[in-house]
Amino acid sequence: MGTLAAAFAITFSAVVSYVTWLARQHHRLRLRLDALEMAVGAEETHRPKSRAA
Amino acid sequence: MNRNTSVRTIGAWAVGLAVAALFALTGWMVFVFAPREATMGDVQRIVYLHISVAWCSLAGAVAMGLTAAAYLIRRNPAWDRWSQAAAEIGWLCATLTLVTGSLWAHKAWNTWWTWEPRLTAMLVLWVVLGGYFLLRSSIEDVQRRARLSAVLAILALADIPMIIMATRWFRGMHPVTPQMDPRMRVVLLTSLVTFTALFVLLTVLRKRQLDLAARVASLEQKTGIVT
Amino acid sequence: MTAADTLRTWWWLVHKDLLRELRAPRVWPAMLLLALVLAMVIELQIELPRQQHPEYVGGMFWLAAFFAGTMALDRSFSGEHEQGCWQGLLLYPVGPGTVFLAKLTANFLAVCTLGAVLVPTFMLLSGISLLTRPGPFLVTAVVANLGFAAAGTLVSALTSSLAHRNGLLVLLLLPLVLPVVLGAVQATRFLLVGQLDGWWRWTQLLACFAVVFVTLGTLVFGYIVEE
Repeated sequence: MGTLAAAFAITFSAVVSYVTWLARQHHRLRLRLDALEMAVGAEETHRPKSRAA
Repeated sequence: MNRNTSVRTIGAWAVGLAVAALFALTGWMVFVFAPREATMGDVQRIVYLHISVAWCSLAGAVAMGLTAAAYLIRRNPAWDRWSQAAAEIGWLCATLTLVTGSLWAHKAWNTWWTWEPRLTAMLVLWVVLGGYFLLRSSIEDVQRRARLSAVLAILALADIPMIIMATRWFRGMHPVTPQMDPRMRVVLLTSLVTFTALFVLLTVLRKRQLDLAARVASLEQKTGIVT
Repeated sequence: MTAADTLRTWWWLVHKDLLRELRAPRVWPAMLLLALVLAMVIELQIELPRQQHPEYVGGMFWLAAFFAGTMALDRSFSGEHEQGCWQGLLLYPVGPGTVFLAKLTANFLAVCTLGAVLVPTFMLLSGISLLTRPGPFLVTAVVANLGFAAAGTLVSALTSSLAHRNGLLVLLLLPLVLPVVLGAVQATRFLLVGQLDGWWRWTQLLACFAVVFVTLGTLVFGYIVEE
């Protein structure tokens, strides 16, 4: 029974760890993306509007 | 864009909950519904887990190969990200297959490892997928990395059937298919479906994350800002 | 390009590689020497009763052959990179498939020469004749070397342009050529003990591997070398 429990426990913790890691990475990436998009947005507001646009 | 994102997020959560429910069902089936095996006892229940993750790792390798071919034809970087995501989850499942197989081997035959054809093939697959990641990590340029690792993925995919054949023949010509109680077969099927759903969910999540990382990288390159 | 032109170009490329090796030997001497050293070390360590020797000498022979063979494969593209001829190679007015076949032929000849040197070496050191049935052995050797050279040429091309190669070739190649290693060893083993149906089955797998990888190589080599 111990072996069975170990197998399930290992699988479960592997999946949970991976999902947690994914979530954390996602959060960090989102923050970076928001910061970059804000910077790009700010840049575009300050750029003088060209005639072609 | 925001509405689209929240739809995708809700979708991901919904699927996640569905998968969790499937797991609850599978758990009950494996531990309660499935009959106790005559010779090995309760430890035999590992097989539902072992076969499911083995199947997922194979699916991951196949998905890696097919999406790699799609990348080479289409040159859309999204295909390369699918390939990487599928390979990663496939590798994770291969690791779990080896671990559960090893635990089972220890209980069943009192040895931590056996050169049994399926385990041998899985070990080779594990190493091949590891090599895929090593290759990826040695190439900086995004397009070159995608292209070269796609070729390797295709070589690996073409090789898998022959690896399976070779390892099967290596240990005698007749593979052993366990006789399964019909109830066991139902449990196995449920377990397979559950793990496949989990595999798909994780691959999609990882691919989305890679998409995000790619967008961050491209914006960083464009603006010159490093976050 | 007509078929005759392609054939001529193929022969010219093969001829170029062989001639270069002949004029300034870099690879073949080291490869042959490594093979001899491996044969010596292996035979020194293995102490088997006389009757078991035929079963295992095939395996030892092939291990030495493949391991030394990776040396030739490793260097098959590095020469071009080191001397700045890589761009030149890409500019040949011929399909990348032909370039692949030319490189494959050169590598195939290298590993065949290696085999030709190793067979008498092992026969001398172990006292077992590998050539009790020379015809079948030759067939096995040809298809095994062809498959090995095909996979090796592809992986070598993949890794040759990387900055930090560090043994990536061997790491990527060996799991992929497992069917060849197993096939060659098992086919030789069955041959030496006289079981021709076992020999034939494994030789068919070797042939299958060779066909798959030569074909695949011709198709995907262009993706590896494109800039």
